[in-house]
Amino acid sequence: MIKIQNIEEYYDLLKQLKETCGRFITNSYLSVAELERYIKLDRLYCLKQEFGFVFLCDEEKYYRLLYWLKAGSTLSISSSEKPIAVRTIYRENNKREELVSLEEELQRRGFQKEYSAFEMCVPLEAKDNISRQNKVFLRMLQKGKFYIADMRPEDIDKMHVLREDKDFHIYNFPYKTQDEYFHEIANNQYISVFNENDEMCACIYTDILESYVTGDGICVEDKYKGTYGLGAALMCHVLNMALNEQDKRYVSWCETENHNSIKFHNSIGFVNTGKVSDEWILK
Amino acid sequence: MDNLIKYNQIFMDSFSLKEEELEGNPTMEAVELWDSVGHVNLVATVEDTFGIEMTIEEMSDFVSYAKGLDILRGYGIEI
Repeated sequence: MIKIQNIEEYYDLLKQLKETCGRFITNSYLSVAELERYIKLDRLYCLKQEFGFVFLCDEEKYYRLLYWLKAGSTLSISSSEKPIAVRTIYRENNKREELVSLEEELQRRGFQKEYSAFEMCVPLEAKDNISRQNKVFLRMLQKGKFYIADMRPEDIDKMHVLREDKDFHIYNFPYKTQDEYFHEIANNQYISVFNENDEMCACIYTDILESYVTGDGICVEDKYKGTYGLGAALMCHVLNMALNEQDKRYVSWCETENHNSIKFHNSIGFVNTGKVSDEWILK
Repeated sequence: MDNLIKYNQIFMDSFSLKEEELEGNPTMEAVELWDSVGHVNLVATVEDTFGIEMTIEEMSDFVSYAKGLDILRGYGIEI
């Protein structure tokens, strides 16, 4: 396993692949900025394969594997000191032959499918409905003396605790430095619900992309779950921000076995987009 | 009478209930779809339909079909 030192090295490897392998498959859609970030943090590694490369992004608790392989080629990888996660994304009922073959290869190498998720979105057409819901939710929050505001830097530790909830997989959370958290907080990307004592009770991470807004699952402190509707209120607040302030649809992923989450997403106006992702793990 | 038809329709649409089920005074506790999101949708639809804005107390009290009728009558709506 070699550590990638600079972006040129990365692109040289891909150039080699294109020259020698012809048609290849990949699950890597990292931007140059994202790649440079991993390199700068000393967290991007490469494993040479017979016909291609796999790159491992060190996410602290696990490795995220990105492959660039000749279609139908074998994979040479063994378990490591931490789990290795491979995410494959495809259209429901339309998995390409190359992907089926890759998944068979992953299974031969000891990977197991940990969970699947499907993409859901709230389209722009729902903006009026979301706006109406949001106004009512805000009044409901007032009743319990809760309020919504940007997360504060001192809440980062509590957010990590909330993310340890059984409903979340570690593979949903990439590694971030403390400075990156501070930067995102300053950029208003974490939104929270606070109680009357200014204690954070729930939070969500959001990211405004060019054509849509996305975010993580909502974390709610156990003692507030299912009683005050904090998660729904927070989700509605974020949807209202996306649809009515940013004029963008909101996109999120929902695990196929998490029936409560599916019910929640459907009730608030999410619709299935038909995109599925499988998380394969080698422990 | 028209108002009652509108109110009943909101309940039937919101919670997938049949008209005859409304006679049993469905409650938040008994109706599966009447959770926090369902409640907010119900309040928002009732407010829009009848041109009112419930107080926080009224929103909290609105835990059954019959309670909703009382709240609307409190706004002078003939129902």
